[in-house]
Amino acid sequence: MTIEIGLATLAAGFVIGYLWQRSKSCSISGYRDFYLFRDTLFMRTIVGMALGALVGYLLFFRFSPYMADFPLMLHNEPGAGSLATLTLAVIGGLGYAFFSVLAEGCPLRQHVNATTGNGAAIIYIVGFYVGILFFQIVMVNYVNVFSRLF
Amino acid sequence: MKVDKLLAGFVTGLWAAVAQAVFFIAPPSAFGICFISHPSDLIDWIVNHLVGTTLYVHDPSLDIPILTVVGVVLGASLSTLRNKEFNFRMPRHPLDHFINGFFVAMFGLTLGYCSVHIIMALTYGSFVALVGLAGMLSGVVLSSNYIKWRVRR
Repeated sequence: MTIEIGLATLAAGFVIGYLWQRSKSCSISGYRDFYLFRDTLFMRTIVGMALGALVGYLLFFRFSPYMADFPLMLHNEPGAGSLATLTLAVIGGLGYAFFSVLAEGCPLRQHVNATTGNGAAIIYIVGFYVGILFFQIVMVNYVNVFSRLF
Repeated sequence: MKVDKLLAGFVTGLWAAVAQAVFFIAPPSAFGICFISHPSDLIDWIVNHLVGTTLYVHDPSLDIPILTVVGVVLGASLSTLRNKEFNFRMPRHPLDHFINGFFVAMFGLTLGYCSVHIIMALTYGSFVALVGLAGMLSGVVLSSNYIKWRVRR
C-alpha cells in the first residue's frame, strides 16, 4: 500500500498545488482579514475546506472500514483528556498563527508562493525546514516530557 | 484561468476524506493533508536514510514518505510556468522571513496541526483541534494587533 500512498499523495498534492496557485488561496489570511477588515474573500478557502472535508467524511464513513473512529470526539480521542496536551495545543496554535500572520501566509501558501520566485517565501521555507529539524532533534524531548507532566 | 478559493478549499477538504477513507493515510486520523507533519515526515525520512538517525515519522511515511509537499510544489510550478507568473524578487529583510518560517515550524509541530489540517481534524470531530483552533484564533488577534501597533508607531 505504501507505493500507492506515495503516488496518491503526489497526484493529490499536484492538483491542490495547481488550484491553490490559480486561486491565490491561504488558510490563515482569512482569519486575519476578517478580524482586521471584516473581509471574507480569503475565508472562502477555509469554508470550502470545511465543506469539502465534511461532505467527504459524511459520504465515506458508513462504507469505509478505515473511518471507524468518526467522529473522533466520541471514540476516546488520544490526548483529549490530557491537560498537558491541550495546553500544548493552545501554545502551539497561538505561536503558529502569530508567526503565520507576520509571514502573511500559511506554510502551504508559502510553498506555492516560492514557485513564483517570491524570495521572501523561499527564505521562509529554508527557515521552516531548519525549524522542523531543530524541533525534531532538540525540542521534541522537552515537549514529550511536558506532555507527560499533567 | 482563475479558480475560485471556495473550489480550491473544497477539493483540498474532499481529498482529506478520500485519503482517510480510501487510502487509509492514518494514524493519526484526518491526516490526508498537513503542511506541518507532511514536510516534517519528508525531511525526517530523508535525514534518517542519509545519516541513519531515528527522527520521528508518522506511520504512513515509514516506508515511503507522504509526497504531498512535492506534489504541491510541482503543481504550483506548472501553473506558474503555464501562466508566465515567475518573477524572482528578493525581500528587504530576509532574516525576518527566516525567523517566521523557523517559528511557524516549531509551534506547528508543538500543536501537531497546520491551519489546513486543523480544519480537517475539526470536521472529523477532534476536541484537541477545537482547542488548538481557539489558540490559533487568539494568535491571529494578537498578531493583527501587533501589526497595527507597529504601523502606528
